Amino acid sequence: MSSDYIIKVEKVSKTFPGVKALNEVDFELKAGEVLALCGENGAGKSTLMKTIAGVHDPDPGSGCIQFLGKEACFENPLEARKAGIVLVFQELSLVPELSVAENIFLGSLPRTKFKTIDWKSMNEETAELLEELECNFKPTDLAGDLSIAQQQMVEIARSLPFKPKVVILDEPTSSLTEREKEVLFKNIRRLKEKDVAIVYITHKMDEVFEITDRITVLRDGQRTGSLKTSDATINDITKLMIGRELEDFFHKSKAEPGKEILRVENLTQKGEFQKISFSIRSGEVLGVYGLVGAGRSEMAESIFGVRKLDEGKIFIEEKEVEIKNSKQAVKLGIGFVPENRKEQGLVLKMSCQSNLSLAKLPWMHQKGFIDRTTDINTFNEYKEKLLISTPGPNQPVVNLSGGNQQKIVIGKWMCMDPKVLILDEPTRGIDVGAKAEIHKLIAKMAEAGLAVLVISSEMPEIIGVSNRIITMKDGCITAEFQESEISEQGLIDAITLDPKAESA
Amino acid sequence: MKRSKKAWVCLLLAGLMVVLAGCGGNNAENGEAVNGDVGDAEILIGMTANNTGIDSYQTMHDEAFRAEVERTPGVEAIILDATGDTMLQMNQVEDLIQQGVDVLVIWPVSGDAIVPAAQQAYEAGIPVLIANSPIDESGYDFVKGFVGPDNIIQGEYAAEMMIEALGGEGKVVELTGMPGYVTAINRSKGFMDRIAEEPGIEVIASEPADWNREKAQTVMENLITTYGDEIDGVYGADDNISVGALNALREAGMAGDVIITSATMFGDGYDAIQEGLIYGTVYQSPVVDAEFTVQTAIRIAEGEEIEFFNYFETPMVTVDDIDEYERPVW
Amino acid sequence: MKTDTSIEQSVREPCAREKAAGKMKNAIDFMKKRGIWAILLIIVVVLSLLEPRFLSFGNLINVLQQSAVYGVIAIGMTFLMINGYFDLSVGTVMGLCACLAVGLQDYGLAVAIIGALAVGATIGAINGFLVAKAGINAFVVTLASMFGARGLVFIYTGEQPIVGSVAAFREFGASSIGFMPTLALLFLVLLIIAELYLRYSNHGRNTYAIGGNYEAASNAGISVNRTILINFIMTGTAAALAGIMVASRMNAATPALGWPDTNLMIIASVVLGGTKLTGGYGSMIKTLGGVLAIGIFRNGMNLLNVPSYYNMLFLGIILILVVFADSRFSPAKKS
Repeated sequence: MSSDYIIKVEKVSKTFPGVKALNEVDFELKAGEVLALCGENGAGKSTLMKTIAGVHDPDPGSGCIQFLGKEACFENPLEARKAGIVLVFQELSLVPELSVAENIFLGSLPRTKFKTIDWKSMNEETAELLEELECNFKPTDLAGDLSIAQQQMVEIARSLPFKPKVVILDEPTSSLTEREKEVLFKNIRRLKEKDVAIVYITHKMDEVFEITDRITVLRDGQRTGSLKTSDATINDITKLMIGRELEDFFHKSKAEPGKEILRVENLTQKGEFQKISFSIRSGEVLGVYGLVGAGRSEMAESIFGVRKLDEGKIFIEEKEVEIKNSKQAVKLGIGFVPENRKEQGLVLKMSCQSNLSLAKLPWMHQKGFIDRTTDINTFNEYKEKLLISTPGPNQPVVNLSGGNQQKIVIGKWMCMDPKVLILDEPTRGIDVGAKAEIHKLIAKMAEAGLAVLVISSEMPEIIGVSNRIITMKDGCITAEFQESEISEQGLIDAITLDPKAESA
Repeated sequence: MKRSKKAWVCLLLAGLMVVLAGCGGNNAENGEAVNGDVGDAEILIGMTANNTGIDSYQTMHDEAFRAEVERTPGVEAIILDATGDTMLQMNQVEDLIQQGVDVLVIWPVSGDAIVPAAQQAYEAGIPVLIANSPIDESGYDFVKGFVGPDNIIQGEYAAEMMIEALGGEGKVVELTGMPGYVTAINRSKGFMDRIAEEPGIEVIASEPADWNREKAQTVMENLITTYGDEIDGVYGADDNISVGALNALREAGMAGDVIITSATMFGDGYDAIQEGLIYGTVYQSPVVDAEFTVQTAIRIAEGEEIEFFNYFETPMVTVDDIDEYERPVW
Repeated sequence: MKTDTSIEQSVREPCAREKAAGKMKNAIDFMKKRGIWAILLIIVVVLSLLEPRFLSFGNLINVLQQSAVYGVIAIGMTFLMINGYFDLSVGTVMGLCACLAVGLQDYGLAVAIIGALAVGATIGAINGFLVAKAGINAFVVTLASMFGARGLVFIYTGEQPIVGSVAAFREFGASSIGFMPTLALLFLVLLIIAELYLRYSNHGRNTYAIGGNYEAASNAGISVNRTILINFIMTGTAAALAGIMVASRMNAATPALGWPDTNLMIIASVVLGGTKLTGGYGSMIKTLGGVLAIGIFRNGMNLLNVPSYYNMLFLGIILILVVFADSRFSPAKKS
């Protein structure tokens, strides 16, 4: 039976410093099938695929990966590609300044007998490959000039000469238009006809049901289930992804919403988001749900002043304000916990204490010097309030776990006494236990009178913490749900359906 | 909109060039040559200086040179600065040849490396006057002559004063100028050759101080660490270096105990001699130097045959006769 | 399904965002491809208006001759910068090799020249090894070898200038083929060869690939380390060759040669030409433009009797303007 499987993974683990990304995971793939690989962020989907394709080595002695019935351990992605496993990364790996043809033959450029590059045959062969995938660009186009979808096609095209047996697509449609998606799906079906196995990593349930034959779900580095797409429902998948009852896991603000704190009208930045209007009252948690690329983070950044608005008004406590930069935003009482805390929220090599007081610094110093006593007192106060576990205030943040890092970012804003706190993907890359604590914190902050805006692409999280949810797709708000109206299906519909159809 | 930005950059560039032309224009108001007037002058001197601004002597020399050109009717000059770069100086000589100057004054960065440039000028029929630092002997055929101080004599003077002050016995350290420069080499040669005749005096270290006061101080600090009280005398190739060395000695509490002599006097050195902290130095005036250079260049341009070596006076100065000289402003 | 450009563009159905990007792209392309020549043109026009002698044939040849030395190093540096690195040691390596090319003449001219080239290549190889294999930052590595080479010069020369003893060496530097100075011709020939090599050789394309996307190049099985190493060696060798050229022009070498700003002038001329400091983009023709622009600018300032400190100031301003324009026009926020 096992010989049916083109890839068979048994009890493979992969540990990164501090994180067990894969924990004795099992995985099978059959020839000619399209397999959806689902799971929350951090569930280990990409890690598993990268381990199969030779980017990562599995932990020593932790099980084996079989490819075509033989144990396989690829040194690098090139070896894997030569063997027939193609991984199309989420972040594409093309050289933008080289032509399509050069990218396809990168590392093995054909040569003439004079040892110069054989442009003619290279371009001809490339043209054939592109034709096979029905691509509408030329071998001589610069890769950097292509759209993301076209670049994906180049990635796939470059594997065709190796007669691929497995093609792994990591969230391929996250930045594609509907039309580009159709082309991609057409090519997926074409590959499938040739008995190529496709692994399709995605968050989008509609795509799972449209293109895949089978679904494998991962959670916390383990497989929680495999089922046939035709037998599955969204509920089944969600349950496998989350693995527990939502009620125990999440904490909602129980405060009675007070006066309006933040209102935005018609926020627009061309090409990113259009006509965003909403308001938040004190004590309320407003969730913004949508896929990556829907314009959620961009919208939040514009409220915080790091992005320029083309249009729109912002009101704080009913007074119109103009926010040109983050400094003004902070002055107005807006706090922002960014999506990528390591790059945008923390100075990793600085101590916990210094990071915590970073935003407050302008208020804390005395004649240009930092008041050490206040600094330490503030730190101790928030360490207790937020249950930050660190060996000491002078510990560099880089040594802390993701959850504690995030608490420091939140604490940084808490000590400013903000009126509004915006959290973008507050629990990304944070383990389950710490997630619950962050959620508890969010509820507590709202109950203390803050207006909280939470952005998340994790449905259970958004349902769990929000008193009200708006959904975004393609830069537009597609729906708003009061607490009583919130349902999984409703949210999925709202972020997958065409916004125009929704409003009609 | 983007195109207009490009235009904006270009415009700024063009503006810059106009400002540049303006810089030349300012010089013209001071009576300096600017290319437009070049044709009107009877004599056009082309000058490429060694490294204006690196020390007060060269700065003063540049000013005095310009002033002397301005004072002399019918004479104009294009004055360039090689900034201590041999290759750049060669390029400047070529540029001046292209400008068709009547006489070319070169203050060589390197007496050796300038030879082919002098040859080019010679082949182009332009007479060359070497100023201040000598050209290598292989270039003598291509130049009309040399004008400047006799650096070997200056080094000898400094050595003589050192011998006198130490009574013919002691250990001495030498702080030289910028390595590779003829002036530095000759001042060192003059000093060393004269000291060598004196068996009682030993030179225990010789380090470059690059004509630079701070460098001299650092180098001297290191020498004090290494040799300590062994040092009886310090010879600095000029007062910049000597004053730097003096500062180091002062910090070590050794000022006054160690004899310092120097090969060229600057203002600070003058004060130090008055205070008795520097024993003696050599008085070399950049103003006399520059004026003498301009006048010699004019004589060449007018077709006069000149002596090959044209030295101007550089007397020894010690605490005894310091009051006979004005304090140098450089 | 071969389509020409116009059809292809209509097929793509550009949305408003893409259209705006397209317009922007044209402007960027213009700046990228012709920026340096526009600058060069302005400099030439302004200079020839201010100083008629500037445009004389003799002076233009003069400029080419003067640019040849820096130009040769710039060729090596262009390879390295397309690769995504730079080398701060080229100035002092040039000085060192100039001294060797003169100093070793006692053992014969061939020994002197091969010795100088070998030392340049070796220093390049050390730089390359430390950057590619040991993974040390190129800035630190080449800064260290910059000082190292300067130290070696002083040790070797005993701080004295060295004069050449072989007549042929001196004659080579001053010689011309027809109206063209031999050194200038050497530079132009090397430039053309380098451009062809960059464009048509495996190594050339690999250089672009690594500079453009290191991960992708490495994943494609390109021997990244080898390519980087070769480019460092080429840069070191180019610096050595430039040293030989200088020494041959002056029939002498001074220890201070190439110090302190030669390295930065060369990086400046390559950047001015349009090659990116971040790698992945550039060409020899651009570098020619950059080298000529700086050569012409310096020559013009000399002809105009502008004091040299203004000279440096304005060069600095122009460089910043160009890099600023470049950063403004380049599609940095692609993601």
